[in-house]
Amino acid sequence: MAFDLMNDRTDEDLLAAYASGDQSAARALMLRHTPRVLSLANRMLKDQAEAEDVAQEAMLRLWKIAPDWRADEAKISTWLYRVATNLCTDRLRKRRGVGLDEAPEIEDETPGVEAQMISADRGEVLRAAIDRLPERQKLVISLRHFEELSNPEIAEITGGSVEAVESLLARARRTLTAELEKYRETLGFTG
Amino acid sequence: MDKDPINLDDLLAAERKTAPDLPTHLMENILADAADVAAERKPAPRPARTNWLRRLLEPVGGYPALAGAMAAIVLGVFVGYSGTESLETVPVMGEYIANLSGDPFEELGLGNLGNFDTMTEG
Repeated sequence: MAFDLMNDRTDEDLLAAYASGDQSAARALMLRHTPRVLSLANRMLKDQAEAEDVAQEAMLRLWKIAPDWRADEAKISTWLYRVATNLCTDRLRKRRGVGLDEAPEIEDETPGVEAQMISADRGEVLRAAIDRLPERQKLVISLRHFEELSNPEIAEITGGSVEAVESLLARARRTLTAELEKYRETLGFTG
Repeated sequence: MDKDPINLDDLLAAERKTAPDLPTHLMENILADAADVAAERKPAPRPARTNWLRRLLEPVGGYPALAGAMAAIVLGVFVGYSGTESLETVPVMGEYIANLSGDPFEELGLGNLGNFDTMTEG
């Protein structure tokens, strides 16, 4: 079945079809979800190869759970983000020797933004500023603004409360705004 | 001149539109995983189930043996209730008995077996 015929089918329908042996349903699910999982992993890990490993592993876990999927428990997109987030956390823990929860909320003080502005534009400055955010702030700002998830969905993915998500988002936005203010003229803002 | 406000939401929205393409090799790997998982999930073909009666009868000759046994049982019950004389009413048996020259038991050297009265009186 062609992918364009599957656009009107829900994720749950597609997963059930895959569990029944329909490989084209797997392709549709992959095209629908992998770009966003990959994008999140890329933002978290800043390593394309590792991000691809995370995306592949997250999708593999989806294939394995397909026959036992219970639609009333979670949305597939939310479940995938949670799996990807946990996989990224594991990899970051291995890199640093601590987990996201234990990681101190200290901003990266290494010179970075200016050095990365060789051909500065707003997008590059923003990406550099996001990279410098503490991990949990980076995660919630990515889920909220790039993956366009609601705060309750982010809370479900991160395993925290909605209030904690709101707090992290507010701190991240303050940090990003302050960082961008430093480069106001470079970014073409007047004043 | 007023400061031009930095609109973080606009910048984030613009950044959102620059999502990377999905690499071909990643798509191939993911689809290969999906196929592998589906293949592992397929149960091995189960051996065809044989009927318990067939399995029970196989050592003694199968259904033909059962048919023979059933015919013998029916004949035995028939003779038991009707007596040996009734065998003459059975088409083939009647013709066979009519052609016998004498006592079939005596012809076989089993004369005493044919005299039920003697046997029962002692």
